Amino acid sequence: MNGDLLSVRGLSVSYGPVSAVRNISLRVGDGEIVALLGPNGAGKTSVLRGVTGLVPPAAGRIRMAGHRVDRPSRAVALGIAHVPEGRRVFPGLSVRDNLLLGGWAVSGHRSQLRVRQDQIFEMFPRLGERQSQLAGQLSGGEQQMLAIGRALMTEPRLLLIDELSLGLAPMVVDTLIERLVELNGAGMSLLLIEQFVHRALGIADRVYMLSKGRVVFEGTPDDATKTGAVEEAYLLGTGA
Amino acid sequence: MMALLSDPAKRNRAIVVVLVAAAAVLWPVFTSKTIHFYGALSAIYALVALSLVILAGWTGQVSLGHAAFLGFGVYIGQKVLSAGVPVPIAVLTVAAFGAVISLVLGIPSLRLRGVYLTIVTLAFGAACQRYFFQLNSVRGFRSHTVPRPSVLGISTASDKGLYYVVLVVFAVAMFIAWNLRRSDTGRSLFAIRDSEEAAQALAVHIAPYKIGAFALSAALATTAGLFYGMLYAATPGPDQFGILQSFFLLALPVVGGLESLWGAVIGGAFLATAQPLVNVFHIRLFLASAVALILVVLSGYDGVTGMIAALWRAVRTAVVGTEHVRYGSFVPDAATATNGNGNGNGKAHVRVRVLGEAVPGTFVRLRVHGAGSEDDR
Amino acid sequence: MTRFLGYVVAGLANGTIYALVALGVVVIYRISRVVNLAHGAMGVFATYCFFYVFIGDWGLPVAAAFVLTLVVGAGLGVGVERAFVGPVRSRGTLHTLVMTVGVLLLLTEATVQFWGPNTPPIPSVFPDTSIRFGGTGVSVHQFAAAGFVLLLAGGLFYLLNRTRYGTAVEAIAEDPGAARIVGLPVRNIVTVTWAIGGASAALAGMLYIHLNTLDQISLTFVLIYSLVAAVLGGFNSLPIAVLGSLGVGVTFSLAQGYVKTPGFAEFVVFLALLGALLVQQRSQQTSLETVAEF
Repeated sequence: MNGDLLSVRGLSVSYGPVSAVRNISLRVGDGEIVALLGPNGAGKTSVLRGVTGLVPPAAGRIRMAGHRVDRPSRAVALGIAHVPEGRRVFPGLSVRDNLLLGGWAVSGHRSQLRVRQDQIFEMFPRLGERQSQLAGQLSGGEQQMLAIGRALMTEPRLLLIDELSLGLAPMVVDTLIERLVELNGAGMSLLLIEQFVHRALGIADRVYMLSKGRVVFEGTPDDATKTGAVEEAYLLGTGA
Repeated sequence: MMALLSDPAKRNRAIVVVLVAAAAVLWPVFTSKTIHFYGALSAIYALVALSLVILAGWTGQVSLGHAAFLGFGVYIGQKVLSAGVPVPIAVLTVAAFGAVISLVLGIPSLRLRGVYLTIVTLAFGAACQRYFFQLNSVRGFRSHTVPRPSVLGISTASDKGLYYVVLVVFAVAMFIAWNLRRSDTGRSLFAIRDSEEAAQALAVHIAPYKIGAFALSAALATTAGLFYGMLYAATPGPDQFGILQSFFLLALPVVGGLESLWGAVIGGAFLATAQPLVNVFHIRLFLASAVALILVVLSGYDGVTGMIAALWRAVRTAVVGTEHVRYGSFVPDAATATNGNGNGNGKAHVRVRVLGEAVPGTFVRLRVHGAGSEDDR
Repeated sequence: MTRFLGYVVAGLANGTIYALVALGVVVIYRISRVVNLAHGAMGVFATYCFFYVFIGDWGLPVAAAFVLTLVVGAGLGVGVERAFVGPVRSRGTLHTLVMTVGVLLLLTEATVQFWGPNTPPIPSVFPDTSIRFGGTGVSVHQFAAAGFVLLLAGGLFYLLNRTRYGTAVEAIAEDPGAARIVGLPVRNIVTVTWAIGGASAALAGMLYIHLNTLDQISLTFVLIYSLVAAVLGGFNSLPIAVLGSLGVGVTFSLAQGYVKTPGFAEFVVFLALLGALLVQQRSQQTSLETVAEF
């Protein structure tokens, strides 16, 4: 297990008296794409929040490349970048400033940041064209590009992506997925939450199915389809 | 009547109203004159608290100039009453005066997004304290006597009599506010107010309602002032109606609860109990109010009303087991959360606000994102 | 004419204090999106510490007490944020604003409770010598106050509008959660910014004396004048906060000079605020239209 990039053991996340995730363990290997699936309310987002320490976990041990993760700034420093649900770009700041802040945690040198920023503009030329516009004025797809770009500014080893395709046109999603696969090809690991199950199954190496705050299936996408784990998790989750 | 009895929640509420009303009517019979004075004062402050609850409920903003409205009520009321005008007409006169002033403050500030009403009322309070109230035509530098004529046969010569008069006025004001709240307009304003984004987008369109709520609020506060002057039988100086007093007045409904009309009742009662208590312990009343305000806001409950409601719910859940939420304005998380508590989110924080009665017999089943809400919150 | 000039100069001198308060209010608004109504009370509390504790009880030299008071002001700012404003910010504007009113009342009353309802003769760190200027004397103290305003305004403008720190302040104000996700040191930035705000309040309290004797509520009245300027700049603009404050100072001084009715100047400030609101209304409409284009 020491080869794991991210290892999560016994994670529980609660919001006040309500527990969202109970005793979950999962891992992401170096260079892997792992999908976290499950119906709404299964606790997927809570897992990501617990992993970065955004919501301090009620229990559990999170290690990134062997080091403990306990708060978001530490997570970023250890090479975890988080593309949050709903994108959460800073609407009143320009595209450039959004990216600049993305790199705050890792580098003080403006020249270094500019190099990285140019790489991101290369990856998403649309962002380059709109670099001095306010992020709040971008379209949904452009904002998602910006959110990914902002996360990439820290040159992470692991990218957490929450609901990549939420509210986006299918063509835009295709482009984004293409970029993510390229990043993965360059060695970056991905842990992603995605509502379009088959899209996620198409690119993932491994899959975790969550239901009611617990892992109900772990395995390859093929197994997930064959054993009917997907249908089962979603049906259980809706209480039908 | 049948509908009232068949609906348990409604019936409980009716019982509480009757009990509280009975207590409010009966307590002076068993107590001394000194206490009657504080009782009357509390009823007057409850009226002010109600005016602030209406304002906060409808506009989501607070006024820091209500002591000035109170002061105008005292000073203008003194002139009107001295001229021999009967109290009901005097009430209408000062209320109209307050409403007109409120337009000057409300029209420029309530059409804007932001906390501008608070700022403009604060500046207004300062201008009153240091300028308007110093004018000889308003108050000047000498206290005047305020007459205490009887009202529709009830003598106000005693503080007890005055208390009953104020109590009736308060009850009427509560009734008006209650009806406005459960009107369609009231309900939709509440819903809009709860979503900051919607409130911002619709700021201009809902401005007339906000301005109207502020006018009503100001009218009630000046009315309270009329009775305040009668209670003291004098016109206290401008510093009694200065900005510090406005901060104190705001503490009352905040401690009582800004979101419910009960907050006004409890805010007034808070004063009635706090005043003797601070006298015993030699603490300044304003200091005690500041501490109470801070603690209540930090607690996260909507004042004492909210705490009592939470306690009641906990007890009922313990006894009965489940809970039915009735008539909520349901604003999904995605709409309310400005900080992106979007889809997901542990699914626990769905905000439901109970707005009061809707059509009897309608029950809303709360389902969260289609998932079973009982165990997968 | 000399009379007029005299009023203008006096007004500018007073305006520097308003500007100090306005700068503090804008800085805190920029990080926490709340109009800190407790700002004046914070300044008074710190200044009473300056007089009663540091000079009175401890017998420190004025200069040392001055520096220590700035630290107290900064600490007050941080404390108010940590204990009161920060915890309720997520509950919305209304609760946050009400909280600042609570803190205002608490600090004002605490000042009276500790030190009585007195108006202490606050000493100045600067010599009392006066320089003749346009028919009126301007004291070294007043010049120093103006110097502080320039320094603070310039420094803050650079910090907030020209550095990455300022960008982070804006980001944290817009979405603290996202700022944490990105890995910004949110806590530290909030702390530093409130410390600056608190220290500026203490500074305003200690320099207030050329306006009047300082009582518990003085700076809260000054806060009202400063809010006129802050409203003009949408709580965002530092230059407008400073220039607007100077404008209010001059207007106030002229009103006080030419109209002898007590408190008339207060009335003029109230009118000025109504005017500022109309200006703000226009600019909000324009910004709405700009957004609508996209």
